Amino acid sequence: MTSVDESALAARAAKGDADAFGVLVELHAPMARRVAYTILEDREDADDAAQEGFLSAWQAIHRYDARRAFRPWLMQIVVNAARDLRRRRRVRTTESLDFVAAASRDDPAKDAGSMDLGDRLREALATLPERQRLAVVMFDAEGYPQAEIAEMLGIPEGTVKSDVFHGRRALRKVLGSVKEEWDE
Amino acid sequence: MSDISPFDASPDTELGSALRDALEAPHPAAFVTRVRARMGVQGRAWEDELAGWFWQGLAAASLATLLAGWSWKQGATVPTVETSVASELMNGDRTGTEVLLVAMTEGRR
Repeated sequence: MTSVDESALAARAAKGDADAFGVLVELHAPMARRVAYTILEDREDADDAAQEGFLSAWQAIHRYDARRAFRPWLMQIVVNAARDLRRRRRVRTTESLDFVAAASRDDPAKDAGSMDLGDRLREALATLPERQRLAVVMFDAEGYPQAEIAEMLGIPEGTVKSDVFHGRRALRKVLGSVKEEWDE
Repeated sequence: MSDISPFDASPDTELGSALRDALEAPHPAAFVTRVRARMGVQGRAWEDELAGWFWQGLAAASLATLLAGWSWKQGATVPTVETSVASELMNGDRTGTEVLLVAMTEGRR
């Protein structure tokens, strides 16, 4: 992925080198924020969860096994942090989220025609179950192998394949319709 | 889409690229600065710090034990025989000890 030796950086970080861990944060922040957003569907919450994930990883860095890849180890921590945050938020804000969702469905500005591809894809993602969202984002957008996704999410590899298939089908429809609009 | 198979094990690069764009978060540098700042404030948990120092501590303690054992052994090999008045009296080899013993026992009476 990069020319940076992540295991060496992680080994330095494990000895307390905050600068080495800072380089790892810089390398993986974009992906961590995308994955956290996939779970939480809110920019601020996603950043809070990604930050929480990095800080948890920093505290647990001495437990990281340098023989294994750093990226999936970190991403598993970020996924757990995002799921924890969603659980806490859900308890507090179920009613207000229902209100927001209803309001956004009625909002004329959210009509398909007035949205760009990013908006349309995010909206389509929001219609998918969380596991499908994560599977398709991690596989197609982040390039994780299906076996690694299965390990991270604690589900069988066959389930990942199925989730990627169904998620892709829904998102491909959106992508196809936007491309048709662009062609017109 | 008819070209998608459940058994397709290669990533969809076009969809993947569109998803990355759609999910990209703004202000990446600000986020990294924020995390680094929190790392400085939070530091690492004390039990993790201790765990990090465990092996160094164990090595230092082993070295100290070895050094202590070695110096104790060195000290033990040097003969430090002290002759006390009592041992001299009990020995009885020296001249005058009998007189001294009698004087002492007389003095107790």
